[in-house]
Amino acid sequence: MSFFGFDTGPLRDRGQHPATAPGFSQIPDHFASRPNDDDDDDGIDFEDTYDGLGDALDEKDDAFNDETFGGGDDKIGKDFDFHGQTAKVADAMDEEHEVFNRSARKPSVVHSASTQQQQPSRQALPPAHVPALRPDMSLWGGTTISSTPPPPPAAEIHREQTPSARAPTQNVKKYMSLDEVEAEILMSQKPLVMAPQPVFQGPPPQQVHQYIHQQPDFHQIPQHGGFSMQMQNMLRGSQQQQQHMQAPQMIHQQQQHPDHLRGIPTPVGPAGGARLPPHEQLQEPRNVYGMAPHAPASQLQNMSEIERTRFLEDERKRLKRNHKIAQLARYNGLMTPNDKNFITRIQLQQLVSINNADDAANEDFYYIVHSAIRARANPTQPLNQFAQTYLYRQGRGNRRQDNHLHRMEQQVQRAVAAAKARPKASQLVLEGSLGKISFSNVKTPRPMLNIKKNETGVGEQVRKTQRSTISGAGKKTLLLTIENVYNALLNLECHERDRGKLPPPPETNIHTEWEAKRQLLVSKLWQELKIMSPIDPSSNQTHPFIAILSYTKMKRAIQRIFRHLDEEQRVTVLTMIVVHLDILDVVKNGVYQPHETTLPSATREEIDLFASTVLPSLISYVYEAPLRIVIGLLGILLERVDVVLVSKTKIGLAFLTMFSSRAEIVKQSGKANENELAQWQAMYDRLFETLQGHWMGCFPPNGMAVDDVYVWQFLASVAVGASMPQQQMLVGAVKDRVMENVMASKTLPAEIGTQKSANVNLFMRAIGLDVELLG
Amino acid sequence: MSDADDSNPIQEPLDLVRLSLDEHVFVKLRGDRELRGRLHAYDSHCNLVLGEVEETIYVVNDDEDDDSVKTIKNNSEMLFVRGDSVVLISPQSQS
Repeated sequence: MSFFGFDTGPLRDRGQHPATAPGFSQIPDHFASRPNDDDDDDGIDFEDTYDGLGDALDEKDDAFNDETFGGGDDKIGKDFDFHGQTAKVADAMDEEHEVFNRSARKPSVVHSASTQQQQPSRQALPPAHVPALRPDMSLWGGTTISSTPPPPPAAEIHREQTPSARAPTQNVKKYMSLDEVEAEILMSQKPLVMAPQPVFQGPPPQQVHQYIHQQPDFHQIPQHGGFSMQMQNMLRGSQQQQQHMQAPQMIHQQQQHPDHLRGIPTPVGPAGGARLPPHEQLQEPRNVYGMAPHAPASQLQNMSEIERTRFLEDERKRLKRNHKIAQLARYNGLMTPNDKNFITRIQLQQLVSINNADDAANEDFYYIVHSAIRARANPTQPLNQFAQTYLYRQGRGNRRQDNHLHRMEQQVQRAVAAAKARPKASQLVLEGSLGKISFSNVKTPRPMLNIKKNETGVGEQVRKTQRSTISGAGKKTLLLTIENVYNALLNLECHERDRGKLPPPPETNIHTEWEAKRQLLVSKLWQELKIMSPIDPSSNQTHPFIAILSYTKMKRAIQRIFRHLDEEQRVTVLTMIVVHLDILDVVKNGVYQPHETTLPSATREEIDLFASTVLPSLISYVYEAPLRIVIGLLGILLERVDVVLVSKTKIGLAFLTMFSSRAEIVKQSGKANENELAQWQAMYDRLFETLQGHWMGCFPPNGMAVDDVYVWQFLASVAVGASMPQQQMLVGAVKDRVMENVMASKTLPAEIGTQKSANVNLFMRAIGLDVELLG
Repeated sequence: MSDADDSNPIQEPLDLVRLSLDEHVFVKLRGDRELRGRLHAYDSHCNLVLGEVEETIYVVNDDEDDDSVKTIKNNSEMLFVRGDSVVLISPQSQS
């Protein structure tokens, strides 16, 4: 016994709920098209799925439920179902109206034609009487008869429909006047009252009334045989419904009077392409997406085959689109307005910092420097579009967008400025709390360690150790020195960058101040280079500058340092290097050992680095240096350095080439005075003498395989300035090598061969010959 | 770049790491890993960027009777090391 007195037992035991019961009469039977599925055991049995929890309910207090709620399984009244009743009546009333109008005004026209019985009446009706969504009966009647063949159970009733035989006779009496209808209603009340309620739960009186009017084929018999026959029909109809035989009947009805069935779904037939009745197709998406179909199912019924197909096609497309939209909109509304604001703020800040030139210099410093270097490295290629817009955002672009951006930017800039102006407290001390709360943001991460710097104590200590170990020249000291150089260099570069921010020339005060600071920083850098440490020839210690120059990072720094040095300082650097040329790591390690054909890769890298970073600075200075400086440097070189050893290395030769070629250029330009030229000639002769007998030593072993262009360059630079006998000596010394190279250039692949002969030609041209002459 | 650096560059432990910039270093990591490579960059969290790195992983064999340690070596051209795994950084001669 359930709480409300309903039978909670399995459906099967209880039997069918009367399908015609008022509360359920509107529910369409989805399985109407299936013949008889009562004995279909494949479906899920309620017994199988029921977990039996209901049996465990405490029902001892349910004894008086019947009294309380007026139970009784089969005595449920229908008088509460106002909606069901009204819904049925609503249609019936409309129909009644129409039918009445029809029969009253044009009775003869309506029934004259048997094939298209409804069409004339349709035309005759004034439009005002047709509700907006009335079906087009002619279309419907014309097509469905052929398209949807009625299922067998309906056949006998259907037969009655064929109007050919009796239409002419029946037509006159087909419709009743309003008076007749009323009379019949009154009459029908009596059997209804007498009939036991459970037996006749079908159509309410209005429905019967409707049937009387709407189903002339039915009531052609009642017309003669009285109302009882009609009732039988009705009862039969309800019984059919109970047996799930609703559909055939419905189809039959539909074919007789399609408009009556408006709102009650029917199978689509072949046109729909699916076996499901249209309302199911349409109902499904409604359930899933909560969207009502474009047109009601009833409207569908009233369309022609083609229209319906098209409509269904459209419908399908529409549903597809809706489905897509639903998919896209699945994550709509995930972000709250606050979230969106947050994101927008970040984006705007980003925008401002990107577009703000000042900020860009600070935040994208390395990018800017990098692109500047790139641009300089390849001056023919302009900065690409991105860099242009990025660096110089005043580049041309969409004017309107710029304007828009500009405005937004200004607004945000103000906001950002306000935010920046706010004092940035990195710590918060709450009153009464024991500790501090430190904040962090992107720019100032929360310090993990907070070590109190003891400025004076530690400083003294370090300085002391520095002083004590400077002579030791330990690795750590050298590294420390390099870091100091870098610090000084970075400070100087930072200061140089400020030059651009200086006001235009008139404000001399600021400029002198800036210049003074620069001088200070340069001298600081100079000091850190330790280049002025006294040279002590007797000591074994490497000069600190030369020592730090053996580090890769120092080599890289030279180019940057040179930019800030004045002439005198550059000469000093150059002199310092020349003096220690033979102990310079790249020279010292650059000498091939007796059985070596190649240098260790680490050494090769160092040499390449030196050649690409340090040498260019030196060369660019030497190529502008006056002759006396070149003479002086070469003099030092010859005096203090093992030139023969130096000549065996790439870097050493590069220095020699540098001097001799510079001297030759000055000599040929005719700008040098006689005295200097004489000095140079003496110096040159000395060099030639020193190297005489060692010319072949300049070549790297296995010169065939490695690039020996630097040797030929050196020989050429020497040969240019050589006197006739010197040239002969030179040619005699390297003749074998020349021939070797020329021969090799013929056997080697074209590309390398050409390179080889071009190298040799450097030298040959210098002595006024050509490789071609040898060939 | 700060002014304090001018006189005494070594003020805190990490300043010593700075000396090893562009030098070969030995880095010991949690999880029995070691790195040898050129130190390109570091920060206050000991995040490191290393170049030409040789990574050594020590794996103890699972067998109960066999406790031998297996070493796995990897070489990377460039490596970012997250600071929280760094145990020690040591300068190392280039060999």
